[in-house]
Amino acid sequence: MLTPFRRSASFVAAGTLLAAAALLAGRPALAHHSTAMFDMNKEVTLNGTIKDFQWTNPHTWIVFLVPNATGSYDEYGIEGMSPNYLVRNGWSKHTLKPGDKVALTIHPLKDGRKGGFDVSVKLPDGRLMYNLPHRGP
Amino acid sequence: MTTKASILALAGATFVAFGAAHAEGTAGKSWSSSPQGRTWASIAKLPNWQGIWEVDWQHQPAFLAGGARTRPVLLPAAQARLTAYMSKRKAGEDLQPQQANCLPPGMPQIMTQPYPIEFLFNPGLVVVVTEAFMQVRHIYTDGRPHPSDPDPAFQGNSIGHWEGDTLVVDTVGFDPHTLIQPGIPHSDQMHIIERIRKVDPDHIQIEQTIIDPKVLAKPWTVIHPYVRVNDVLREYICEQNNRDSADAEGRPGERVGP
Repeated sequence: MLTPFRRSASFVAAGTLLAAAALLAGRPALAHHSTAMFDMNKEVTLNGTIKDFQWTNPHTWIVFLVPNATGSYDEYGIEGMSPNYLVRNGWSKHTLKPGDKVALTIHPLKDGRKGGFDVSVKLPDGRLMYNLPHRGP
Repeated sequence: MTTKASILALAGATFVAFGAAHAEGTAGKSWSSSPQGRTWASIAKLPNWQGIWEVDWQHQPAFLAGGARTRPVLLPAAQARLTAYMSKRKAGEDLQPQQANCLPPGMPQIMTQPYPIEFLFNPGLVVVVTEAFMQVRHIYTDGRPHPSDPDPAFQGNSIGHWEGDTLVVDTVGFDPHTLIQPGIPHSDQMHIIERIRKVDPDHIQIEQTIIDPKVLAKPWTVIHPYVRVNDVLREYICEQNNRDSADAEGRPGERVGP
């Protein structure tokens, strides 16, 4: 049985935050590319509307519309882990759908373009879905 | 027909008399009494590796932080190349591996991806299927030798035999794209020996020894622990929606828009 945050359970079993941190540091989360283009030390939360959720390999993509100062929308492209990875972390292809209003926390692109790497999504029903294994709220 | 049948019966009896070692063509080897999985009947005597397995990262020595992590000992030229690679990374070059362009990692790195694997037994053949990049390794256990001049391959060319409950895999002939580790290319003499064993119902260990006399000061052995997961292998088509292609210098080229 796959449960959300399955790996979080093993973090708790490991007993200490240190062990969890070592595990997170040691685990090669990405098979596909490095995170060099993202500012992994920075988190930004965007409030907006899902335009498209691409449940694809090697990465999922969230096309996200964020209201701007001109009364229009900025379109963001947010990269997430693969469906293979996310389904083992409690997600499904139905987790996000066009029109959903969510709060999306990202590591922004370093080059300033409107994009980044997904950290977590707060769903309309209040659930917080993490992109990578997380110790919990 | 009767004569033919009795010849076959006689041949069969002789076959049995010579024993398993003869039947599987392993006479004279130290492990000749081990079932080799060259027939379905022989496969039935092998350990059962059915299931889906993923690297047990909590116990993975090659990825542990700090002093617990094991590292290969490099010859001076390889060390200089790794140092140069690391400083290029600091300068913003060589940030992306070839996988950003959907080339698979190949051996040995394909065996330590953050996606599960599966073992399939056929007579004379063990197949390793890796979810990452949907790769397949063919390990021939039918007694054949390596080709005398194998074409370079991402997975290399693998032959194997069973020593009791341990599958010993010998792999040569690697494509130049494959790396021992990021920043550590291999030479044309890389040779990988794996000893794969199920240590309990839920754990498999792959002891991997990398030998490369032109790159490594000594063979580098790491035990990769795998744990059973209740799961299935999923599809992984890297070209489906790859927006992360890197340029020739390994600089990331993320495509944000449609």
